[in-house]
Amino acid sequence: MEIFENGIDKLLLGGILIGVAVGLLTVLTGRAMNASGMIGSLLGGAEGVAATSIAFIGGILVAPLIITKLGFPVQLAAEADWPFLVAGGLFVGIAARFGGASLGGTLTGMARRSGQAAVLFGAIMVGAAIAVYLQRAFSGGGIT
Amino acid sequence: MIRLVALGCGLLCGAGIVLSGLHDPALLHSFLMPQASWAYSLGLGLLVAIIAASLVVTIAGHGNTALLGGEVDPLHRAKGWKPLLSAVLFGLGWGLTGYIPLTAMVAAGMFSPGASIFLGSVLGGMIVFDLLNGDIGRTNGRPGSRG
Repeated sequence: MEIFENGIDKLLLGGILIGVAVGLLTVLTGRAMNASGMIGSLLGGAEGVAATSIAFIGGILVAPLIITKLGFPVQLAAEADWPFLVAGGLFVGIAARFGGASLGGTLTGMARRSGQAAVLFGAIMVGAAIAVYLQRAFSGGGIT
Repeated sequence: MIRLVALGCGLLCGAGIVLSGLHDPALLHSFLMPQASWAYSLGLGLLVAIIAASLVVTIAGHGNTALLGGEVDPLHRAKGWKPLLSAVLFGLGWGLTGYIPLTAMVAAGMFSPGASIFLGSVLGGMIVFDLLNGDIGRTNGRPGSRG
């Protein structure tokens, strides 16, 4: 079903689903949608926390399969070269441990009217912009 | 019950990411590096998600207790300059790859090889940090440990 010819209907529907999931997770379970924290809890989280994380991660991993079964087209996207993937992953993992950074966490925070979450969201975008501009300026070896 | 809700929220969030196409790593680059035409998908998708999440939180009311019991996660465990610095570092990782753990997990569910490399590296980064701090297996007080 296409309401708009450029597919913006799917973008809006997807955004709403993500937002509802963020909201429900925090009001029902008290958890922030902090995916990196959830991955981290698999390395040795408190009792019950790792199990909840596994349930959430399981849902995320299975979702593309269900969407495909429902008849929606699912497309694999072009990815960065592996050295960028390794370096970027290390940065994200260290950041998650060092100060608990997470994009989903800042979304949860903003939904809960946290000014600090908005500032951290801005800081994440600044970091992303620096990496994108440096990548373009020096090599262009990332995603194009 | 909490695990069932977590599973449902994971499904809902994953479906939202797939439908909106926000798992595409190139969206960040096209959002931050406008060329012939600006691709606003990432910004619009995130904006809609924030508005929808705010509405759910507002309707349900947000106190210190979750509706299914237990305390609501504190938003920021780390104090001082650490959250800001880690946010910039997180952004650098996002900028280099176009992935955050959430979108990489969705892409991994689509058997995307790069997403698996990225997620393995995220785990590696956490292990490196824990090794350097000598706190492998210790979670109390770790930022985001409750995730």
